Amino acid sequence: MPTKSADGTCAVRLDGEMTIYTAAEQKTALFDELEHCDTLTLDLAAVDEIDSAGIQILLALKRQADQTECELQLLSPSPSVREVMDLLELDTYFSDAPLESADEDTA
Amino acid sequence: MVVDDSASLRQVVGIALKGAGYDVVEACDGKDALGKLDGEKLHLIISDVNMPVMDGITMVKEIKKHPSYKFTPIMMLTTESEETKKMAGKAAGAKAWLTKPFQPPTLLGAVSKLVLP
Amino acid sequence: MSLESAKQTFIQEAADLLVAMEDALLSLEESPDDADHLHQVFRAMHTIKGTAGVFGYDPVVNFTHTVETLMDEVRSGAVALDSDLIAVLFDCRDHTAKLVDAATDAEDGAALDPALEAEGDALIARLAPRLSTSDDAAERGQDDAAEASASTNGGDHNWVISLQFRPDALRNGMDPLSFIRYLQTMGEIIAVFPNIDTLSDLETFDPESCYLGFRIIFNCETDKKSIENVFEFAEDDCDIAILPPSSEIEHYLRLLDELSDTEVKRTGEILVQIGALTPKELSRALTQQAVEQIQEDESDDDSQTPDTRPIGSILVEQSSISEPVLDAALRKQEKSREKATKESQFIRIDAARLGHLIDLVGELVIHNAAMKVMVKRHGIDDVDEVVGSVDHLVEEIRDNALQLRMVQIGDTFSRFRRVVRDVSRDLDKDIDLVINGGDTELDKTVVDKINDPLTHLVRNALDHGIERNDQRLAKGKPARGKVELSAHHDSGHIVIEIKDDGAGLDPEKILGKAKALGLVRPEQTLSRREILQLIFEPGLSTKDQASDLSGRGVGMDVVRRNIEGLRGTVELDSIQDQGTTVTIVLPLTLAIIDGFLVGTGTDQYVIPLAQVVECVEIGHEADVERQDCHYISLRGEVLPYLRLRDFFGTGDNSRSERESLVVVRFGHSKAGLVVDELYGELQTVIKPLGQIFERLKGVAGATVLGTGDIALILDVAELTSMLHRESSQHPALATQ
Repeated sequence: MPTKSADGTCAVRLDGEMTIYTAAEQKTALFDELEHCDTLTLDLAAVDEIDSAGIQILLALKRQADQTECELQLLSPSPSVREVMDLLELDTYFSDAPLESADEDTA
Repeated sequence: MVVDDSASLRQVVGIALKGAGYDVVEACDGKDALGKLDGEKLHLIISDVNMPVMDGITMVKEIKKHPSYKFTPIMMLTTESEETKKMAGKAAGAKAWLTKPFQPPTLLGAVSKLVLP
Repeated sequence: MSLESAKQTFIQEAADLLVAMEDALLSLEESPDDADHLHQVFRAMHTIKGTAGVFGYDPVVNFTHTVETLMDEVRSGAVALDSDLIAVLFDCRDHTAKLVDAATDAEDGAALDPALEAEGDALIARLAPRLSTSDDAAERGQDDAAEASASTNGGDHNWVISLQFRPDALRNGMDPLSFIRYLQTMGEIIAVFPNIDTLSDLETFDPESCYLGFRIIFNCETDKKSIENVFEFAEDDCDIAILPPSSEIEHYLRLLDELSDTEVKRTGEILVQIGALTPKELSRALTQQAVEQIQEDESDDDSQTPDTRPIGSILVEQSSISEPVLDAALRKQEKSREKATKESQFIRIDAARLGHLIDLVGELVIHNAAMKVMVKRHGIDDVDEVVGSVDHLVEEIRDNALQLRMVQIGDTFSRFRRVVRDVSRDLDKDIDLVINGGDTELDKTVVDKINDPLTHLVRNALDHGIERNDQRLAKGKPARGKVELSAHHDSGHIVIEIKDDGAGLDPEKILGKAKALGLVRPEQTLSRREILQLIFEPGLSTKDQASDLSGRGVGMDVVRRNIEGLRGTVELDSIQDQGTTVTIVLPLTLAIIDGFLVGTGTDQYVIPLAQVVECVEIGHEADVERQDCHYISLRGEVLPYLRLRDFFGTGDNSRSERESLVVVRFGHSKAGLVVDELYGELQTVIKPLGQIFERLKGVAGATVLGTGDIALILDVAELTSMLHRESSQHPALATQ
């Protein structure tokens, strides 16, 4: 889980799976990250599998971010992430505008 | 993964699952199945209850201890509705059950409630 | 079996069906209303859809589903079949054939040819405007969740499924996403509203626990059970509530309406039967009910009747069912219940077995009394509570056992309809029978014995009571006569009245007859009421005198004897030219009663508790003696009374220091019984006295007490009427 940070913004690129098997580890890492920044961007382009546990972490992360007045941005969801986002109609939870699926700019 | 001591049953289940777009690994009993848990990603384990060497319920208990497979859904196949076996199986962690004999569509229906093709 | 051979069968079957569909469509061009052909088209699509589903040929299923839906509406007349639509259907048929080919030829998991898909979409678009429940409309709803919610009220097939997964769901391998994906294969998910309120605080958030809940608006023509089945594996790990679409609610209401009401069912059973509720939802609610019951019992022990919440309110709370459906079901249940009462659904039980049961209960009552005596004698305090509850149970068992033998008097009354009809036709009279209080219950053994006296009385009313039509008109009465049979309960008794609006009785004639027979001494003065009761004396109303008396004819003395044999009384009241009322008062049962135990000296007597008004301690100065008969002024009311000791001539003459007066009541008359001791209430099993004691006055029977002693059961009816007659100095009817 490579991270880089600059002036209060952290960018995390997740890869592999976001499932119950990885949930414990990812939860710890992501929440730690969130504590140390004003804006957290998560690049989901390389997430090849996501299940309810993974979604749940994203939801919890978003809620924590809202409570601590941080910003959470989800970037370029992979097809698997996209499919779940669509299924559960979660786009509106994470941002006002629909998520950009393509690999575009990173803040 | 399909675990059953009957080769023909494994085949029928295999055909049905492959036909629906799933990848299938076969094992002939509980012990064989545990041996084949080798890092390969599994989305579902379908297993008979009564098998030689290691029965289904013991296998379920073992799988539930395995760090990489403990959260994998397990579907048990029983000959009749063996209620006591079913209770034991559920307690061990196998939440999905299917009664034999079944038609492939029934199996696929059940499977698709648990995993994507 | 081989999948391949099954596939070949499917291909052949689909081909055949499509040929049939084509033929049918051709015929429909000629006659668009032909039901058989419409059905043929529907069936082709329906069957192909079903079989394709088995093989997982989703494109085939999805496409044929739309056509099938349309055809169903055409069949029901909701959509008109015109030549344009038939043209589209031809294309649909061809497209289905292509899809089947493509699906069966395709490699495993290969996606549908985009060109074919586009063609299908185009066809569906052409069908869409025709469909009243258009998938298209549903899609538009997807844009806006609020709109989707609103459309749930619009009468389409939108189900609302609420899911709340339990913490262990994920660990058990149950992924909520899988179930939602599966739902997608059954119908269309219009909207999903995730519920993350249960997502716990960061500190306690366990990433391997499940906190997710969803509310899903799901468009699908299916039944509740099928939707519940989707979640069958998650049943241990998820709380599920499925609310039907409004169209389903209408459907349920219609089914409820159609449900036959021959059987009374429980609310839950009714709802399961019409499919509004699944058995699982029911069992969940029942469990909840049981839990609440237990909690209730624990929380307030002193509540008299722990009210269990009705299953319906639990179901509504669980969102298993909507209130309109519940209300309709409850109304249905009520209706069935009423009907069942009318149809008298009973289990037939051998009367002897029931009698035996009641005997055993009687023995139980006696032994219970014995146990109470023992406990009291030994002063075992900690047993008191147990004895108290056993006592209570025995009382309940007794009441219930007796209840078993209780039957409604209505059936007995109804039999007289026939009698009235036949007799009035024979006599050329116009007579109505009015029945009141047919649901009044009394012991079967009493009912059986009351039939003969009742028949006598009814026949008398018809025969001698009601006048001929011309006579009635001459008297200014309506030509149509009326006989009324009614029953009601009154303090442990049943009161039966037979009332007619006929000629009534002439007291002068009765008195004259009684004097002639020597029943009344010439110098005696009797009240009108007393004269009327003479009709029950033997010899006064035998058949040959019937015409003279212009009223009661057939053996009224027999009637009285029958009624008194049942420890009842019979009274007659009549106003000339206005009618006659005969009132029968009977004990509800002949077996067991609640009694009040009193004693004089060493003897003990039981007074039926229902007839005890009050107990008063008396001083000697308060009573005024007059021969055998005593009077007491009780709060200004003058009561006749007797000393049991004197009456039964028992014991010595040493009076106890403190005597008590037990005021008893029978009908409208009250009387006092003076006793030495008041022992209190007890359950009394009535043992009939042998024939030797049949003529014994004032005694209804005997009972065995807990101590093993025998107590006589007083016949309050006889004692009070005797006291009142004595008090009016009626020598003819005085005690022996």
